[in-house]
Amino acid sequence: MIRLAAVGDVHCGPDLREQVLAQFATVPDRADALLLAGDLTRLGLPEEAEILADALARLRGFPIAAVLGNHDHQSDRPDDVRAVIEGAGVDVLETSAVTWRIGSVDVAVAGAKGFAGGFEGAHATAFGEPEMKAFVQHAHGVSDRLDACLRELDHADLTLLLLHYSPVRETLTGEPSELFPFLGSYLFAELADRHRVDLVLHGHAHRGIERGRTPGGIPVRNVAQAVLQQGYAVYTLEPRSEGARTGAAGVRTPGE
Amino acid sequence: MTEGHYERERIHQALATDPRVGEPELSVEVVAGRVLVTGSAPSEPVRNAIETVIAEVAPGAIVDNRVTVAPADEPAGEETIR
Repeated sequence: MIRLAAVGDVHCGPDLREQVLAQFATVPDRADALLLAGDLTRLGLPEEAEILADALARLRGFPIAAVLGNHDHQSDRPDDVRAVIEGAGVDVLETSAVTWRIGSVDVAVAGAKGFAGGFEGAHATAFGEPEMKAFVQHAHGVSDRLDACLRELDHADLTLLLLHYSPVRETLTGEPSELFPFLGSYLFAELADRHRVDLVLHGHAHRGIERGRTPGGIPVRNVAQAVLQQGYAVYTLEPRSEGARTGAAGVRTPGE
Repeated sequence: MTEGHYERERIHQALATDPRVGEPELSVEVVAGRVLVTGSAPSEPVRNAIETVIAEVAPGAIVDNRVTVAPADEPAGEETIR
C-alpha cells in the first residue's frame, strides 16, 4: 500500500512562511510521497517560491513532485519559479515524469500544468483567428507531449497523473458553468483513460468538489487547498498486479 | 441597473490583477448597492486587501467580504482509492 499526500493552490506568499513550514512538516509521518498540483505561488515570483522551497527543503530526500499552475506564470517567470522549487529537491514536472522506488513499489508520476479548452461536446476548436488557434493548439500540444511521456511508464506498479487544470467536469461542480472552458480540458481525461493511470490529481477549481472520475472510470481528485479545507489530503493506493495495466491495451490508440 | 453589472466586472478584474490580492477565482456580485465577495484567499492579509482594492476601484461601495481563508491543518483521515 502506498500513501500519497497531495495539495494544490497553496498560493505561497510572504505572509505564509510560518504556515507552510507547519503545513508540510507532518507529511513524512503521514505519507510516502508528496504531490503538489500547481499554483505554488501567488503571483509567480521567485521570492514567493523561495518561501515554499524553504519548507520543502526540510523534507529533502522525501519524494516530492510538483507541477506549476497559472499563478506561477503570472509574472512571466515560470522558469525562475521552477528553478527555485527544484533547488529544494522537488521534481517539477512539465510533460515529464519521475519514477520513485518506494519499498518494493515503482511509483511513476507524469505531470504537466495541463490547460483549458473545455470538455467533450463543448471543447474550443482550433478555428478562426490565430489567437483562438493558439489557445486550442496549446492544450493539444501539452496533451500530445504528455501522451508520449505516459507511453514510457508501463513498467510502473502505480502511475499517477498530476495536473493543475481539471481533466473532468465533475470536480468543477460548484464553479460557474461559464468558466468551465477556462478550468480544464477533456484531453487529459482521455489520456488518463488511454493509459489506465491509477489516479489523477488536479487543483485550480477552488469552488469545485474533491471527488470525480473520468468517463473511463479513473479516479480524479481535486486537491485545491480551498476544496480540501486542510493542509493536504492523504490517499492510499494498492499497486496493480503485474499485467493489469497492459491488460487495458484495448483502449490504446492504434499503432502503440 | 446596468452600472452594477459593469462595476461587478471591474472589481473582479481588479481583484485578479492587483498584486495585493491576485486572486482571479473570487466571485463578485453587486446586490442592492452592496458588493458581495465570496471565495477563498490564501491568507488574512490578502483577505483584508480585498476591501482596500475595492475601495479604490469603486469608491464609497459597501463591501460584504465573505471570503474565507482555507485552513492548512494536518488531515484527520485518509481515503483509500479504489
